[in-house]
Amino acid sequence: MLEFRNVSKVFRQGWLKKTEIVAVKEVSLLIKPGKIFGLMGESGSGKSTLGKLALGLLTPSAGEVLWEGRLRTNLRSLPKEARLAIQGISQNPYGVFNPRHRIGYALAEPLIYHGLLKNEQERLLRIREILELVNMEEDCLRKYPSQLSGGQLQRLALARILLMNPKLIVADEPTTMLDLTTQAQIIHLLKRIHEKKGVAILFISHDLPVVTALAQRIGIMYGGRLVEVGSTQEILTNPLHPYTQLFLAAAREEVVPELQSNTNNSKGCIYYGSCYQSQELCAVKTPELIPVKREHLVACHLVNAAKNG
Amino acid sequence: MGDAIMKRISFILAIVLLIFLLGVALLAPWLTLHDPYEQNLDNRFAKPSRTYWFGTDDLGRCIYSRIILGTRTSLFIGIVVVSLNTLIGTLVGLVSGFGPKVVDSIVMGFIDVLLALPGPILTLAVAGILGHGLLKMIIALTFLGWVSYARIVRGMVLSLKEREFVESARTLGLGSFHILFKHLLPNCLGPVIVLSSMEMGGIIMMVAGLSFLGLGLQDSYPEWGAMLDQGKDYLRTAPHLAIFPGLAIMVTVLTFNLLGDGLRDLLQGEEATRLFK
Repeated sequence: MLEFRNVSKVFRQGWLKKTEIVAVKEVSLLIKPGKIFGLMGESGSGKSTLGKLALGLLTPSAGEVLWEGRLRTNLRSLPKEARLAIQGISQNPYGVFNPRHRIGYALAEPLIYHGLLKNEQERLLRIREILELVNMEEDCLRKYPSQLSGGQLQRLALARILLMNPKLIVADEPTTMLDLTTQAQIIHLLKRIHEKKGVAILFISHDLPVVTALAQRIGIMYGGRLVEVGSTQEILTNPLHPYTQLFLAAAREEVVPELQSNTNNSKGCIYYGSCYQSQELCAVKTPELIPVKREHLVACHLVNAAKNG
Repeated sequence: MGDAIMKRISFILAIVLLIFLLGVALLAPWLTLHDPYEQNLDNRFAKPSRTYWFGTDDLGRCIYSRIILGTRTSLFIGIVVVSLNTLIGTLVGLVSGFGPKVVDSIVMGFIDVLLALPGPILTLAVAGILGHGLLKMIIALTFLGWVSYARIVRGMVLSLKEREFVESARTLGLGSFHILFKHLLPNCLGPVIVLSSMEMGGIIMMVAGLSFLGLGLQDSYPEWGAMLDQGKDYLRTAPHLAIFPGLAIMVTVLTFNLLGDGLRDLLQGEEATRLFK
């Protein structure tokens, strides 16, 4: 399915004085077909960048993004089906549609462009079917995006990508800009689509209850690195990485110590500066993401030491 | 409140005047009183009267008829030049804003050089080098005219292409050309239309200015700027020679300026007000 192999993304800025921002660093991850993977982490931890790398909106600075064993870096070289297999919805449903196009056109456009359903009648039938799936009335087709609410637009954004028959949906904080009841509707909808169509979802969010309700597996990111991956159950009951523990505590609204600024230390552990039990080794050597149990991977020297000793 | 009403009135006035001007241009041959080319040396410098509404000029030609026919000239050149400027400028702006960075740098560098030269003087120089003639005049006015469109469209494309709907169009697999013309261009058109109508007045003024300086069309052809030029020699003895073509230029330029203001408020609201103020 979708595989990240040692993927890094570095943004370079400036002309005379170059500054580098490392958004994602050496991330390896496998997202399995038909499963929901929850990607969590604080703002700026690189989870959205990882989502954009998956969608092919960004190209990795190092490493490879593979889709069913094929490189996804050069989208043009891929067959149409593989190119369209990964689709995304974003946190801002108001911006997803061109303000000058009616919803009907916006939904039909990719179908027409790719020559997927050439017959107009067939196209309309398919659009109706999808609208029903996302609980939207047909009269929205004649409306402009500005005439619809955030929740409606998000459902339509979902409808538009479903028309492409994606195998993986990258949902980058799809509920952050919506009110609570609408959030619940969208989450419910995503779950239903997942069950009905068997589509895999990469669900990016910092909202722990939502992620745990949806995802079968969870990955935690910190400072551009993936620090822990495991099944939802495992992560919740047995978090091993110090940062994961802190993250979960914070999510349960416990008082947590303030994090030290991320010392952009390329040698040691990314969490070294803030970790409450860091050791000498942590300052000089980057811990690798190593399995401690079946399907539970942690990048921490302490955990590895405990496991080995 | 009063401001809003004034704006509405001036926009309606602009539309009425525009319809009037277009009507005059279209129906010109039926609106003239005399043959605009016919000279009558026995009746030179005639004051405005029932037979010659605006009087006659230094060769005894009917000024009213010449102004009527001149409407065609001014509007025709104005429309052609503005269309060309819009077309070239928009295309250059789209390519510059959406294309690779190298192309953008080269195009913008070139535009910056053009803008560093004093515009009207450069236009005069080009017109002077090319000489008389309709086509040459159009070339001279297009030479620099497209630049402002290119800059505005480029700026808009640069900000638009960062918008989410462009990103989502990409993940839906739509090609660059399709995104450029179906998604970006329609969102640029508002300001471009406003700019066109505002430029129209300036172009008509420039046409008159070139003719006034003797860089315009052939002498006998009725053109407001050229008529003004002839009239200036007799400003003391027969001011109507210059007053009427001057008024014609003023009304036309005013029409398009008011139209531009009105369109700006109508089409774009605050965003465009910021762009053009």
